[in-house]
Amino acid sequence: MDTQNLRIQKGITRSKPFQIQVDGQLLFAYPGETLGTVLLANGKRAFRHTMLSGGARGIYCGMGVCFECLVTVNGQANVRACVTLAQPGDRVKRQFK
Amino acid sequence: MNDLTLAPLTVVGAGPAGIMAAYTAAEAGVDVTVIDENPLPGGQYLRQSPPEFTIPDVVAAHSGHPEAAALYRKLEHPRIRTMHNTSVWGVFDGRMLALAERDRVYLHKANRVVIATGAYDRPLAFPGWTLPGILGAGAVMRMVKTQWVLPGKRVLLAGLGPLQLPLADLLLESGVEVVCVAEAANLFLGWRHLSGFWGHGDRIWEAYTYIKTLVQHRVPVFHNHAIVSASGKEQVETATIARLDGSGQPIAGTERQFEVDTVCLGYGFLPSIQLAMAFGCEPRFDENLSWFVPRHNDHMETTEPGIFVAGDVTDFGGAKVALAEGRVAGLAAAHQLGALDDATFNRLVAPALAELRHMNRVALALQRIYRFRRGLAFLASDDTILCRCEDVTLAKVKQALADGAIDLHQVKLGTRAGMGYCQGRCCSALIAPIVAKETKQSISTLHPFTVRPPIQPIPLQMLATGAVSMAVE
Repeated sequence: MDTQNLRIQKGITRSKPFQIQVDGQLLFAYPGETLGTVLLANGKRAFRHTMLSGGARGIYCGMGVCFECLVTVNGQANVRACVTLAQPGDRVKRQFK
Repeated sequence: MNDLTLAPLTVVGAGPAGIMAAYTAAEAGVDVTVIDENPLPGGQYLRQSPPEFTIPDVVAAHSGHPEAAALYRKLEHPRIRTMHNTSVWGVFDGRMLALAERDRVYLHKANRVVIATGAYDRPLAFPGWTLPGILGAGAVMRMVKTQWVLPGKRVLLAGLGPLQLPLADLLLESGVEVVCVAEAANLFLGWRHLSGFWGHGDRIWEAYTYIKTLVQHRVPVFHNHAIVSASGKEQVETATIARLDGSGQPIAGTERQFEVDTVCLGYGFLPSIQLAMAFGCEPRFDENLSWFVPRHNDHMETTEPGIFVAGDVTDFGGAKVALAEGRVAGLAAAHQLGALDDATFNRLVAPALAELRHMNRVALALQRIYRFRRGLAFLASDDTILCRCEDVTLAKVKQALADGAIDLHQVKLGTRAGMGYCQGRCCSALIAPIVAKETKQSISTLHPFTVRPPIQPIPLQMLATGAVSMAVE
């Protein structure tokens, strides 16, 4: 997917971006963005594979109810990307098989 | 775990209903504690953009609602204390609330309680529905309005209800291509409820402006259609819709397929009833919703004395209804606590109840027109996942029923459905119609999953370190 312009530009000014690492790749994040937003804005839709069926999952409810967007952050597994703010230097691992 | 302060009134949820309940009681002289999971007040409908974003148009920073700022300010009332980033994960001994705030656990002894926990996107299970890129309509709304990010570039909207229109409008205005809108309601069957809109011309005008945008952008709207399948490798690539028959089941041969990168599911909302259930409040089966809501009386009191509900947790009525319900609940709680005498309470509650009756007429008409159609509960095929947390398919649920399970609880024990992180919030309403059909019972006689702590998952080490006594100011 062409991921240019997935961040809305009109009507908003973001503060100075910082970097986070997602599966070793450096990505820009803006203060106030959730990890889910940073991943989505960079065209990453699949956040994990389920333990049992191995199916891909990503953001579904976007409000912390469904626990589908779980990622590993700085070594802590099963963090909800949709309600967790990105912090400078975060090391995010998608929970792929 | 340590003991702590007693708040006469505890309000759970800082959306429109919770804020209004808290403010109304505080104005009557009651000290109120508001507990909310989010860093900022507003709930989902009036959700705020993060303070780190600079948004010159203040209304745009408040999810586009001009009335929001005045509502947030009500929490600054000196009698209200708000605990943000705090979730309620259990109810013990009737009125003891277990709270979690980041890495700390508290006990909070409640007296009167207003449950204003809102609602969440209703899940709809069809082949392929777990693919990344398929999101709830509420999720997309929040993403665009508060995180300022688009869900994708080519979006199909499928759902049931009037909220699809503003969402399509929002996406089009943001430059997203909307390939079509599939609306599951059969307006031909719904026309007889239109009299409920008498005196609500503003609502009709609002709908008209949204439809105008869709026409301008040449977005096809398929009425009486639902999504029936989606496919893709690691994310959604195609989505298929089909026309529905009288019972809401797809008609073979009417399928249309679209290439998409995003699907937005707006099949209404399910009330967040878990906390009410944890308090022991009796549920009521709502025919239009085809699911359970906490039973309450005119004064918003549940079957548990002193425990009130307000807002979308009761049934989906939208923000204006939520405000009026919050006001009634706040007054009734203040009255029970002795802050209002009978005469004052009756004088104050009468106009709020009248307003609620006026608004409930249109809310009920909408609920009837957009009632959940039976056929939508049976779109899954045998290998479709019903419980996302535990990867439980329809085939596994049917097997458990063939093995003798006769209710939701037994299916849970036999399959693990509902035992995962989300605690059955997503799968219970998907599995119940299957159980009802296979065991030839009415879904209304089934009981939703029993709610057990933790209602919200909390790390074990938080329990191991013990609860911290809540600071007493």
